Amino acid sequence: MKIEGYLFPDDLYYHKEHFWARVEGNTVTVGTTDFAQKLAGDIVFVELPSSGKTIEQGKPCGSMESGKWVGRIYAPISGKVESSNEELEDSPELVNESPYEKGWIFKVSPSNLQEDLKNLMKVDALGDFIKSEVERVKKTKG
Amino acid sequence: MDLSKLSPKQLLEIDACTRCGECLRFCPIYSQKGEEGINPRGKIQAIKKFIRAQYGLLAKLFGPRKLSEEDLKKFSEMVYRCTLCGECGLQCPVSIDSRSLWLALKEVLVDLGHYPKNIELMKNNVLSKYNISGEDNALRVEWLEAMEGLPDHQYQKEKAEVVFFVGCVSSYYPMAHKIPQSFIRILDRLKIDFTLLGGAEWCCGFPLIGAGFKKEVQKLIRHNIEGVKEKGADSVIFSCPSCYHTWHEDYKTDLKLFDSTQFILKLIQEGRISFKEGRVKVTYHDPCDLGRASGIYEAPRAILRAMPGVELVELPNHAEKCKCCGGGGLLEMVDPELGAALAREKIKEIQGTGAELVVTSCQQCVRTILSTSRRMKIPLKTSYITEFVLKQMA
Repeated sequence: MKIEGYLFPDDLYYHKEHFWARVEGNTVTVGTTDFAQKLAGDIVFVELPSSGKTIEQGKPCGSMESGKWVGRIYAPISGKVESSNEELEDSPELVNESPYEKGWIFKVSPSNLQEDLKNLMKVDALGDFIKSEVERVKKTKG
Repeated sequence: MDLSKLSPKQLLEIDACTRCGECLRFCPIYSQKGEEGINPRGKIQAIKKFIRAQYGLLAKLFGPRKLSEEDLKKFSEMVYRCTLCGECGLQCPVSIDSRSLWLALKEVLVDLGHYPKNIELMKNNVLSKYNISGEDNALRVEWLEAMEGLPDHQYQKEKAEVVFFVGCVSSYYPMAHKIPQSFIRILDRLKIDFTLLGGAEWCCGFPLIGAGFKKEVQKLIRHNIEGVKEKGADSVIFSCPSCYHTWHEDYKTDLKLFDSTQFILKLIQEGRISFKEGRVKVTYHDPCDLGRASGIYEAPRAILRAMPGVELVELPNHAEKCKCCGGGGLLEMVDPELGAALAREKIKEIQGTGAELVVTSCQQCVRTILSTSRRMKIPLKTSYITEFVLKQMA
């Protein structure tokens, strides 16, 4: 589904810090949204969370950098990091080119999935939020 | 125009410029823009004109001529479009210390209110948050969180012999986090009694000096010196050449100051670091603030030569002739496209060496070279020297 010109696949859960979660069995894959990657510009570095690290929903667990911006990676789900997308170490541009597929950031083994999912948005609840974020960005840019 | 920011020596230097144009051959900005206005000679001629209009013979007879806003605006654009690489000064036949002169001219322009307004944000960040990023200063050591097996003190001890002054860029910009991470791994392995200042470390003041706000840095200087003394340390080590240079030039302290390359070389010479065999061809990029500004060319090369199997192939322009990567002197803030153009030139030069890896000793050079090569989709491996040392250690 497209909202304000940005792509948001229907099957994902979305966190308000602009990270998505894809639930597949006992593993949740995490990445950043099309909206966030376009706003950030060319991503030139991703600091990945290491495997085995315990992460908490809504808390930072890594960071990303584009020429004009530095941002934290927020965990949309609590749990333990199973693996990180090591391809991003040499090819961080995958976050821009393919934010929902090749640009995934890490996989997590969730510790409190059902409760955590209640705090995330599905795409049908995303419209007003993204519109307000677009407005907020416009105001910030003045 | 108040000339009190210019020393008598600098006024003489302005007068001494013979307009020979030797500096044009070396100025990286001129090589990109090709404009007479934006080069060392052009800047000196412009300030000479201002001085004459205000203090020359005609000004004495008929009163000083008012400087036009348009001329000052143009002059400001010239002065701030500079990487402070200092190559012009090194090549100047009459030895004009141009780097210091450009800094003084920025102070003159700040007094006149003619400076790029986006510098204001950086200035406010440094003066209110004590770092360039504007983040909470307590987050200076957030990069430690990605490290495993940290001791309880998390390298922030009450007392230590040595303080590692990390600097703002390596503290807050993820692309540079591997620099302090690798350096403390080395220091820890060698059982060096060191500490970080953590949230008590403040910006060294270089971004303010580089922007023309030198008078604002005294508070930062006093705070940082006190912070080091409280730890009982007698030495400070730096991974940022701009912090190192600023401490050297402006801190007036009896503390022993070491750049990371000097400190590592000392450890190698003491026989405390040995390297494993490795087959790799590397080139070395001299950061402006470490090389031309601080005169440190040999230490990084001696480290690389101490590594068996590491072949150092020099860049065509190396040591005092090394070209700025484009990341210096706040150019990234003032004219990012111009900075990127310099970086692209640097990358071409690196590629021409056939080296598998470019090693450097500056976090800003790492960020500039790495991010530009990624934008150019060139798989160029870039490493800060401590990362490479840690990798090659036996």
